[in-house]
Amino acid sequence: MKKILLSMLVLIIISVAACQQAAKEPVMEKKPDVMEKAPATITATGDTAVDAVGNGLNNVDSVEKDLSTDGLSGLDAGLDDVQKI
Amino acid sequence: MKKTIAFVIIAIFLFSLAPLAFAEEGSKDDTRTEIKTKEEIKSDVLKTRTEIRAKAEERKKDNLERIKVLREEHRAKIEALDSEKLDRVSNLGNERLQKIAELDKRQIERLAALNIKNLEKIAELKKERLERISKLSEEKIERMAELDKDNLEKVSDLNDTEIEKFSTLNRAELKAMAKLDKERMKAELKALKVVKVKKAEDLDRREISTAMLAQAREKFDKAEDEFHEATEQLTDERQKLKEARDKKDEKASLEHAKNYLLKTADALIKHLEKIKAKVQESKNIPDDREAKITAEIDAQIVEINAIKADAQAATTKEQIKEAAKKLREKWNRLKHLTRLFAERVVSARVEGLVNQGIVLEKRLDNVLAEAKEKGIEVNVSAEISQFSVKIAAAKDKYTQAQAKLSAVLDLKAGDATNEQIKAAADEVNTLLKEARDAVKEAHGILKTIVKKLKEADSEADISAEVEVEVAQDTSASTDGAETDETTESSTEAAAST
Repeated sequence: MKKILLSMLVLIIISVAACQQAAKEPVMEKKPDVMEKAPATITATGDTAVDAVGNGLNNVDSVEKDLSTDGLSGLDAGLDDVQKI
Repeated sequence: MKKTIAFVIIAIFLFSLAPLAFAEEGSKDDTRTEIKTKEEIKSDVLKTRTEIRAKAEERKKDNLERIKVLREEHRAKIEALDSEKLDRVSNLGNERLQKIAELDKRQIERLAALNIKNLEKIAELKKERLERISKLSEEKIERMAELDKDNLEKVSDLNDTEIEKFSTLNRAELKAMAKLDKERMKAELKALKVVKVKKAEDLDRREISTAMLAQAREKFDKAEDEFHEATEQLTDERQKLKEARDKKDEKASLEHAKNYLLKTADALIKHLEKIKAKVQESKNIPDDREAKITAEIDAQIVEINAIKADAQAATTKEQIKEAAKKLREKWNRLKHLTRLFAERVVSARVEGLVNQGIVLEKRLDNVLAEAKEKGIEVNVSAEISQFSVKIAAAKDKYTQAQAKLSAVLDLKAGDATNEQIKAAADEVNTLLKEARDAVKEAHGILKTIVKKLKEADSEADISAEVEVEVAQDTSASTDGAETDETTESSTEAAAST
C-alpha cells in the first residue's frame, strides 16, 4: 500500500510540474509574434539612382588607375641604362 | 495511518491545483483589464476627436471672421481654400492678407501651400513682387522662400523670365546667385538656359553612338593588353641588357639596348592609345576638345614612331644613344602631358556624376511633392540642402579644373614648358580630388535622404524617370570659357615676347 501511495505521490508531482510547463508554453509561443511585428529596418537603399552614383564614383577611380603612368615608372632608369652602354 | 497518508496526498494534489486556478483567474482579470483599458482609450480618442473637431470649427469660424475685412470677391477666393490653407492665410496680418487676396485663385492656392514662416516672408513682398513670385510653381516658390528676406526682395525685382530661370537653379546655386549684385545676377541669368531632361545623360556634352562606344572600348582593351605586353618585355630586355653589360658582350648589349628602345616606344604608343580611346568614349568632353586631344595624341604617336624608326635603323652605339636621348626627351614631356589628358577624362566623368546629382535633387523635389499630396510629410529639407551644397561644390571644382586644363592644353600647342604642364596637372589633380570627395559626401547624404523617404513612403522612387527642369550655363561650356582664358594667356605671352 505504501508503495502505491508513494508512486501516486510521484505521479501527482510530475503531473503538476507538467501542467505548469504547459501553462508557460503559450507565453513562449508569443515571442515570435512580437518579433514579426517589429518594424523592418532598411539596411540598404537598393535604389538604382543612388547606386548609380556609387558606381560612377568607382568608375572614376578605375579610369584614373587605368590611365596613370605607374606602369612606366621604370622607364627613366631603363633609358639611363641604355644611354650608358 | 494509511488513511492519514492518503488524505495528505489528496490534500497535496488539491493544493497544487490552487495556483493554476488562480493563474487562470489572473489571466481572466488581465483580459478584463485590457478590454477596459482599450475601451477607455477608445473613448479618449473619441473625446479628443470631438474636441479637435470642435476646435477646428471654432478656428474656422475665427478665420472666417478674420477675413471679413476683405471685399466679397476677395473673401470668396480665400474661403474656397481647404481648412489647412485657410488657417495659414487667414492668420496673416490684414495688410498681407489683402495683398494675397488680390491675387488670382491659383496664385493664392500656391502661396497657401507654403509653411507659415515662408508664407509670411513672401507675403511681406510688395504687391508687384508678390504677383511675379506667385506665378511660379509651388515647388519653385517653396525653394525661393528659403532665401533670406533681403535676397528675396532683390530676386523678386527681376523680370518674369529672369525669375523663372532663377527659380530653376538648384538650392545651393540659388543661394549663391542671390548674393550677387543685381547687375551681375542679371548677366549670369542671361547666360542660363533652362532645359527639360529626364535623366542626367540628357545633359551630356555630346552624343556617342553605341557602336562608336563599343569600338572605343574595344580599342582600349586591345591597347591595354599590348601595353602590358610591352612593359613586361621592357623589364625582360632591361635585365638582358644588364647581363650583357656584366659579361661585357657588346653585341648583345647593343641588341638589347635597341630592343629596350623599341619596346619603350611601343609602351608609350599604347599608353597614348589607351588615353585616346577613353577620350573618345567620354560623353562629357565636347567635340572640339575631343578632336584637339585626339589630334595631339596622334601627333605624339607620329613623333614616337619616327624615333622608333631611328632606333630600328641604328647599328652603332652612338646611334642607339642618340635614339635613347630623343626617346627620353619625349618621355619627359609625355609623362606630364598624358596626365593632363587623363585628368580631362576624369573631369568628364566627374561632370557626369555632378549632372546625376543635379537631376536627383530635382527628382527629390518631385518625390517630396508627391508625398505631400498623399498627406505624408517627410522632413529632409536640411539634408537636401546639404546634398545641393556638395553637388554645387563638386561642380565648382571640376569647372575650375576644366578651365585650367584647357588653358594649359591650348598653351601647350604654343610653348608650355614641362614645369608648367606638371604644375597644372598637379593643380587639376587636387581640384578633381576635391570634386570627387564632395560627390562622395553627397552620395552619403543621398543615402540618408532615400532611407528617410522610404521609411515615410514606401512608394517613393527617385530612380523613376520624370521630366525635370535644369538650368544650364551656355557660356560655361567650360571649353568655351577656357578659350577666353587661352586667348588671354596667348595675348599675355605675345606681349611678354
